[in-house]
Amino acid sequence: MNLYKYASPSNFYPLAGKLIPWFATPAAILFGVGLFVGFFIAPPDFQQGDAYRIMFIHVPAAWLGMFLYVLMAFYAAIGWAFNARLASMMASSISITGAMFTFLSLVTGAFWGKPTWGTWWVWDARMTSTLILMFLYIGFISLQSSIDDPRRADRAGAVLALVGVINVPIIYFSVQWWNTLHQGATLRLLGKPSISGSMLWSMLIMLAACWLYSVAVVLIRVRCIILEREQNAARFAEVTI
Amino acid sequence: MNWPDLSMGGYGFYVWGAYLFSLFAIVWELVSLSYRKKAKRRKRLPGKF
Repeated sequence: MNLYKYASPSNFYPLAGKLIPWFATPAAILFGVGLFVGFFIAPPDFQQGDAYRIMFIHVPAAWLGMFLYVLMAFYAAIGWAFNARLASMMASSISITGAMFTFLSLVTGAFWGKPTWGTWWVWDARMTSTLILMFLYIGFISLQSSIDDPRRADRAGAVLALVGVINVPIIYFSVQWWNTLHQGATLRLLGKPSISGSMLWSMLIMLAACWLYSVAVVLIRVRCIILEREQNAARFAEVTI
Repeated sequence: MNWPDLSMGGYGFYVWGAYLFSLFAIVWELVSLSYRKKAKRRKRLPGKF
């Protein structure tokens, strides 16, 4: 099977359509299972009581916000370096879902901050760098929308996405580099997690659900972008030929 | 299995507020995507894709 043929938007379009249910259905199931475990199985926290349950949406949203930015920058770079149209379309498609998750992480963080820290917002390193990530997403989306020529819009967006990717490790390590109100990492690649079984499982299931949801939504949106750009190209060809 | 206390031990506004907001955000994304998809279908050229 020649996978390179799917780098063409017209070949990827039907493949994306076939893949969407394979991501959307497990996402819906896992959202249900994750919420069930989080609300019915996981016990209240000994310090934060039930307020900690916000974590089951806040942490996956924050992770997805960061991860999707890196993925968006990667696709934007591929699109820029190799003039790959589909990669640039993927970057555009990812940007809106990434912005949505970053916005969710900020809002759910504020809902968690008020009962635990006594304030909706503080200008600490992690929250400020996450807000900058939100602005980077908004900048990317606005820049792409403001330029009529898709190729030029993709190149301009790629520059912004690549410059902004430096913010992701800053967000991740901000709790180690500066004194912040935020707790340290709950999960580590090496070492035991600092939360108990059912809480951890609920968070991981919700993370998987958010991840599958993102893939499904990005595929649906990229199909719209393919149609939009290919139609514009066809109309342009009709007018000019 | 523990039935959750709907008041969330006094934190109900914050917990349900966070989840309600998340639900609105996801529904907004899906609805806006659905409108975009319908708009593109209406404009689609015959014979393309």
